[in-house]
Amino acid sequence: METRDLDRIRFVTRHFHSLQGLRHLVPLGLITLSAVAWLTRGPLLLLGAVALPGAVLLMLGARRYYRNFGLAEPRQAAHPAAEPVCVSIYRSTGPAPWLESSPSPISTLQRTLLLIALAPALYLLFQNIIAPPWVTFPSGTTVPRPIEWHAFGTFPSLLLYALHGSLLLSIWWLQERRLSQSHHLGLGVLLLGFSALSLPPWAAPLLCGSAMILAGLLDHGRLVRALRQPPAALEEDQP
Amino acid sequence: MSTTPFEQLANLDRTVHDPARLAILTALSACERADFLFLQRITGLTKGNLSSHLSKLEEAGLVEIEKRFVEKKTQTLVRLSDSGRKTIESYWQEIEALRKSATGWRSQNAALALA
Repeated sequence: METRDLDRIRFVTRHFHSLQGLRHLVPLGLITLSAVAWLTRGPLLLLGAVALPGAVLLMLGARRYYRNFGLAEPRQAAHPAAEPVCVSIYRSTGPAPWLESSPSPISTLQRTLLLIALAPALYLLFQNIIAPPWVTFPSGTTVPRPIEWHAFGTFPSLLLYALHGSLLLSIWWLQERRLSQSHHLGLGVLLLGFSALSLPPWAAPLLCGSAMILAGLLDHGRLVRALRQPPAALEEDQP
Repeated sequence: MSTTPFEQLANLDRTVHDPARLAILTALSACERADFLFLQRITGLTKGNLSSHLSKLEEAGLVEIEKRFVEKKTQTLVRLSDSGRKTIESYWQEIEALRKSATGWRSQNAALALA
């Protein structure tokens, strides 16, 4: 058994619930996607065809995971244990200065505030890259850009991008900011970036829903791979 | 008293240091409790092998096993005991000390070889 096997075991056990993509992100994505049919005045059948599988997954997803993979209850904060997460043999960069049971250098409140600040900061960044809040005339004169009041009509779309983008970023953050889970980071940043583009209103649920489904399927794939094949070394070992 | 990395390695708790039992304890330290099926899937052990390792861990007082009926089926729930949590914590600290000691020992020997 190699140290990466132990790391896989620790990570998958710790994030067993959030990796259940077919239970959380895919149904959310399907329900969001069904809003496209509603916004484009599409047929009700199409709306139902997308929303129904989402509702079914939402209701039966937990049972399916329980039957296939069993149960691992999340750890309670009252019972911290020293996990090997910070032991140096798991890190190529050498020893880490604290163990999991010791206080983390970033508190939960700081993490939450950082996440809340991240979404508007990225939105403003993309907004300013695409449409800076000033106008420069050929003569060289720069004046502030006039407020475009019609842009406020797209507020629901902006909210959708911000909510879904922040959700994906927070999942990536809570899943230890791992490279293997960076699809959450990529998709989250992409959604916040889309909020700065002048896309039609129906594009928001389409893009947000698709991003959620993709993230959920990737998480599910990760879980299935991790819980599928036994490492050969463990089978050979007898107690 | 200073000990060599080899002595430290020999002094490691064999109940925990076994790869299969270390895998089980690693999984249990990352959750509140887990059932038999999950432990089997995550460690890749066969039913018999896992059962045998769990018995050894229970005998050593490192895990607590609870059986209950869910939908007319027996569900075996396993959790780390308080002693188990302390043991695994101290095991990782020993491993960390061993790594440092092995690094020091290697550089010391390299310096002696050059002299």
